[in-house]
Amino acid sequence: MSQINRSTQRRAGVSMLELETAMVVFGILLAGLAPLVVMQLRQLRNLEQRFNDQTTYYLAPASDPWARKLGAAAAISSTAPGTGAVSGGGAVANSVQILSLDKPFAVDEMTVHVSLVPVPP
Amino acid sequence: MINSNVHRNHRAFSLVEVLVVSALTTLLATTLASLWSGLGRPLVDALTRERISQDASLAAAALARDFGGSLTNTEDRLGGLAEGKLVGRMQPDGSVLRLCFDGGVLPDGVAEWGDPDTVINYHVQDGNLIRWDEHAGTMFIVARNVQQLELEDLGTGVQIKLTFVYRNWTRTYTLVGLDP
Repeated sequence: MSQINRSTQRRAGVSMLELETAMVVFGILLAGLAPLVVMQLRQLRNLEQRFNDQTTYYLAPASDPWARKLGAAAAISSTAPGTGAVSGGGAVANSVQILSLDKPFAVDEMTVHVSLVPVPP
Repeated sequence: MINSNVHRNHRAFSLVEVLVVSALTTLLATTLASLWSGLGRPLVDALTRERISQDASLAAAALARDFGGSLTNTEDRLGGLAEGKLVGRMQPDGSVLRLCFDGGVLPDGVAEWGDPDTVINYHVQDGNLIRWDEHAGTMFIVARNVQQLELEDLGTGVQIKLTFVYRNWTRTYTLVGLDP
């Protein structure tokens, strides 16, 4: 009877082996997290290299007026662009009107239908 | 009598047990503390910085579209060069950016700041950077966690300072939007 009681009482706590096993499992789980943390830090570094608060960025519109018309976003660059913007100068031979355009999302191409009307000299 | 002794022996912890538990608790606390300072805190900081960087990138991308010089919605890309062209910029109070795009059947190249032109308005509201199309009446959130939008006219463009705050991090990004 005394032995049974003692045995029951010994099982009530946590043995050293169980504790060590728990610690090892905990360590393995943490080791699994480490690559994720490293990957996250690398992504952050790449993101901050591309765009950070220490640099002044210039939003420079495309020099070609038709590129602007077709929706080209301003280029984001860390160096001030030159003053070589083309304002569509030169003699205009035709009056150009965009009739329709088609730009699929996954493709870097655009299909544009235009009408050309010669401008009398 | 034997039973009574056994019970009395196990009523309290022995000194060795207390010492072992103390040592293990200290070890566990030290491990968790070093884990937090070495892994947890950098991870939280990295997530915070990444959140701010992403918001700033989104804001820059939206501004780059509008500073591209022409409205980018499908219907305004039709027609001639003059239609949907950026013809005016103003920054009232240095905290609101208004961009005027030419509109109407016969675009006149002059900023009317109302119909038939399209005015795009950037401002900060409730910690969000809002892009509001005054002509269509639509608005959407460009970026979150924005504390301040500061604008300064440079003549050939406008300096845009966007301050982001998230948790205990504050970052100010500087952009210069150049006129077409």
